[in-house]
Amino acid sequence: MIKTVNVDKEYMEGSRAIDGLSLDIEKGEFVFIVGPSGSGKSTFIKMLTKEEEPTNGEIYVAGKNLASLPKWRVPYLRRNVGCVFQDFKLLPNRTVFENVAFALEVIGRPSTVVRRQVPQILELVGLGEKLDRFPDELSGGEQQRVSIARAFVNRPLILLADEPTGNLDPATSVGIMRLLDRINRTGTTVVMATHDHAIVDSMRRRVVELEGGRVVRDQSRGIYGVGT
Amino acid sequence: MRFGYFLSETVTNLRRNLLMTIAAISTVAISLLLLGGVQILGMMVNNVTLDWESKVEVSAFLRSNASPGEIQALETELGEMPEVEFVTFVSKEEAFEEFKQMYPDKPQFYESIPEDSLPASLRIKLTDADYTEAVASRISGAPAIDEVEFGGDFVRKLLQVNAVLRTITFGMSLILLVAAAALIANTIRLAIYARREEIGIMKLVGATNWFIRIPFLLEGVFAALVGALVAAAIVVAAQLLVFSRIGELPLFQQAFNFSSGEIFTVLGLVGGVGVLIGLLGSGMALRRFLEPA
Repeated sequence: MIKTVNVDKEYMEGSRAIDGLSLDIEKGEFVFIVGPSGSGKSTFIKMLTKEEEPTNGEIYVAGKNLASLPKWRVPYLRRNVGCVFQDFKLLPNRTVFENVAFALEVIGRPSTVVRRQVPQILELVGLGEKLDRFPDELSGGEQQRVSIARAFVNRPLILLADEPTGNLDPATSVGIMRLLDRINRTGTTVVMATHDHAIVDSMRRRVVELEGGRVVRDQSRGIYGVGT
Repeated sequence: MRFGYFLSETVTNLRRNLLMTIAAISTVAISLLLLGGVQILGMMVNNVTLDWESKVEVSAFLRSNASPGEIQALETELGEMPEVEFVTFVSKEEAFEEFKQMYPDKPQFYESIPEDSLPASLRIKLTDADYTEAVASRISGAPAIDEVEFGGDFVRKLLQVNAVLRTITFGMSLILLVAAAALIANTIRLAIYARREEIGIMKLVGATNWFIRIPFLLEGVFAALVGALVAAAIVVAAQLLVFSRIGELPLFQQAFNFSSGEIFTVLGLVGGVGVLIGLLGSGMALRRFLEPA
C-alpha cells in the first residue's frame, strides 16, 4: 500500500530531514511512526501526499509512483489518502456538517449522497447532535473527531494521522485512538506519527522509530521504546 | 449538480465574509465611479471643443469689381474640395443686415455708413477645423478674392488648446483605468489572502485547483458586478437629476448635454472594466495560492 525506497529529503543543502528511508506498509496495517521532534515523522507523512517531494528515492502510494504523478493528478491521489492533523485543520467558517460534506463535494458526489452519508459518519464519530456547530464551538476532542470524519467519509484506502492526539488530554486521546482503531478494522491502512508513549504502548501495533531521518527500529506489536 | 454547488458555495462565502464583500464592492464602486467621472469630464471637454470648432469658418471677402462668373468659378472650386462642408454666398445687403443685427441698440454704428460699404463674401464651413489654415491659404490668390479671414492666431490657439485638453482627459482616464484595475485586484487579493488557510485545507482534502478557483472567481465577479451597478446607478442618477438640468442653462448647454448613447458608453465602460477586472484580479491572486499543487 505504501512503499518508500531509499528516500532522502533535504530542506537545506547538506542537512537531511529524511536519510535513506526504506519502508514497506501493507494494506490494512496500523503503523505508528515514533521518534523525537525533528526526527522526520512529519516530513515522511507530508511526502506521502506529495505535499513535500523527496530529494532522492522513490515513493509508491496506493500503487502509484509519486515522482511520475503529474501535478494535476495530485488532488486525485489525496482523495485516496485521508489526513488528520494535530491542529485539526477544519474550515473555521463552515459548520461541522459542511466541513465533512466538503470532502464529498470535492469528489463530485451528488447532494443526495452528501445528505445521507455525512450524518451517518458524524453519528459514527459521536457527533450526530452537533451538525450545525462551527469548529470554534467544539472541544478539541470533538474537533478532531470532525476532522477524522472528514478524512474517512469517502472511504480512503489510507488514513494518515500526524500527531492526532498532540493537542488533546489523555482521556480524550483514548477516544480518538478507539476511533482510529475502528477505522483500521474496516480495512483502511492507518499510519500515525506520534510521540505519545501511553498510546503506542497500549495499542500494541507495528512501531517504526525514526531518528535523524533514519529507521532505527521496526517492530511489529511494539511499544514506544525503552529509555526514550 | 456541480453548478448548484458552486452557486451555493459562492453565496455562502459572500455572506460569511460580509466585511470583505462590502470592502470589495465599495472599492470597485468608487474606482469605477472615478473612472466614469473622468470619462464624463472627457465627454464634456469633447462636446465643448467640438462646439467651438464648429463655429470656426473661413470668410473670403470678394472684390467689389469681381464678375459673377469669377465668383461662380470660385464657389464651384470650393465646393469640390473634400475639406469643405458647404459654402454660403453673403451679398453686400446681407452683410449689412447682419452688421445691423450685431448692434441692435447702437444705431449710430450703421446709420453713419452707406448700405453697400461692406463687401460681399463667401462663407466656407469646413468638415474639420484643422483644415482652416490650409484652405484659407489655398484660395487666397484667387482673382475674385480681396482678403481671406479665418481668425488666424485665435483659431490656431483654440485648436492647440483643444488638442491639449483632449490629451489630458484621455491621459487621466487611462491613469484612472489602471488605478481602478490595481485597486480592485488588490482588494480581491487581500480577500483571498485572508482565506489562504482555507485554500490550503481544500487542497489537502483533494480539491482540484479549478474546484477551488471557481467559487472565488464567481465571488470576484459578483463583487465587481455589484460595484459596477452601484457606480452605474450613480452615473444615471447624475445624468437624470443633475446634468440634464444644468444642460438647460444657457452657458452649459454644450458641456452637459449628453446623448443617451454617450451615457451608455460610460456605463458599458464601467460595467465591462469592473467585471473583467473582477475576473482577472481574482484569477491572478489565486494563482499564487494554488501554485504548489
